[in-house]
Amino acid sequence: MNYAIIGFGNIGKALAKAFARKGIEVSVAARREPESIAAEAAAIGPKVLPKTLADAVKADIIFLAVRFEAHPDVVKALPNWQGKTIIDVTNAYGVPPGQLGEQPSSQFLANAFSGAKLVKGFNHLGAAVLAQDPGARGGRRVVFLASDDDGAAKEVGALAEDLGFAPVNLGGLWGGGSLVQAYGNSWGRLIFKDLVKFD
Amino acid sequence: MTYSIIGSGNVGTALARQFARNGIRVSIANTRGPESMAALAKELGANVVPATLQDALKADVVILAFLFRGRSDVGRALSDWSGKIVVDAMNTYGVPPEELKGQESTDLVAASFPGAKVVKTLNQMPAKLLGEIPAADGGRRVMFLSSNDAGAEKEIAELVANLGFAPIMLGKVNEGGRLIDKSGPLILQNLIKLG
Repeated sequence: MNYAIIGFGNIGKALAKAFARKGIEVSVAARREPESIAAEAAAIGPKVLPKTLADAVKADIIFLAVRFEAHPDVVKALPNWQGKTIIDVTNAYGVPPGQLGEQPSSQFLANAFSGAKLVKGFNHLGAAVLAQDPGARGGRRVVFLASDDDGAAKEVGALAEDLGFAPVNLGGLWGGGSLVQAYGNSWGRLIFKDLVKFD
Repeated sequence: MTYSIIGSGNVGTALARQFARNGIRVSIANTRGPESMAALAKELGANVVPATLQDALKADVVILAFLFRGRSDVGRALSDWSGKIVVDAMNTYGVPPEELKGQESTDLVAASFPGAKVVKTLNQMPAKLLGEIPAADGGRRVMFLSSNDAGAEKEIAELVANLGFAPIMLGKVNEGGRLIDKSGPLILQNLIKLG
C-alpha cells in the first residue's frame, strides 16, 4: 500500500507531518513543481517525497488536500480512478449547495472521481490542530471518517490508526457523514470539535 | 428550572452524583419510595432530594434513568407532558430489535410522553464513567445530545455543561441522533474535548 497527499498547503503539510512522525513514506504533490517544495518536504521528514501530480496519483490511497474548488485539476490527472481510494479532506464551505446539486460535497467528489472509493476524513480539524502529535495529550486524537464503501472506510481507519489517530466511522456520506460536511455557509456539527479518545 | 431523575440504579445514581458535585438541586425517585434512597441522599448532601414519583414529575426537566421497558408506566403517570422536557438517558442494550420496530428508540420514548419535548443525552457511556469527574486530561468529557426540538436541545446542553461535560449537539433524532442510538458509533466512547 502506498500513499500520496495532493496539496501542500497547511492541511497537506499537517498530514505529511503525521506520516513523517511514524516513518511512513508518502508522496506529496503541489500545484508548483516538485523542486519548489523539496526543501519544505525534506524539512518535514526524509520519507516525504515531492512528486509531480502525475506521479503522485499512482499511489493506492490519495489524500485530497487541495481547496475544494481546485478538485477538477486533480480529477483530470487520471482517465479513470478505478482501484484508488480517495480521502476527501476538503471542506466546501461557502460553495452554494445548488452548485453541488444539493448533495454533500463528498458525494459530488465521489461522482467526479469516477471509479474511486471515496472516504471523507481528516477534514474536521484546523491545520494547526491536525499538525500536532495525535497522542501528545494522552489518548489519541479523533478523526472522523464517513464512506458509502465499508471496505474503504476500514482501510482508511487502519491507516488513521497507523498514523496515531483514533478513527470514528460515522457511516455513510449522507447519514453520519453529514455531520462533518460544510453546507453553503454552515458547518456540520462535528466540524472543529477537537476530541481525544481514551480507552 | 427544576430537575428530577427517575431511577436510582447505576445511571440515576451517577447522575445524582454529578448534580451534587455541581451544587444543582435535583429530586430523585424510584419505584421503591423515597426511604429507599436515604443512604444515597445522606452521602450526596442536601441538593439530592429523594421524592415520590408524583412529586418528582413536577420538575420542569425529568430525566429518565431506568430500564427502557419502564417507559410506558412512567409516561402514564401524567396525562399531559406539555411544558416539560423529558431527557432520555436510557439505552436499548438488550432490547429485542422487534420491540424497536425499526424506529429510533427516542421516538418510541416520545410516544409514551405526549406533549413533552424529548432530548436524548446522558445515555451514551457506562454508568461508572458517567459518574466520574468530567473535567479530565486537560479538557472535559464529551456528552452528545440530540432532539427534534432545537430549543430544548440547547437548554439541556446548558445543563450538561453545568454538570461539567462538554456538550455537542447532534440535531434531529433521525439524523445526528442515530449516532448515539442503539449501537451508534458515538456510543460507549470516552472522548475528551480540548479547547
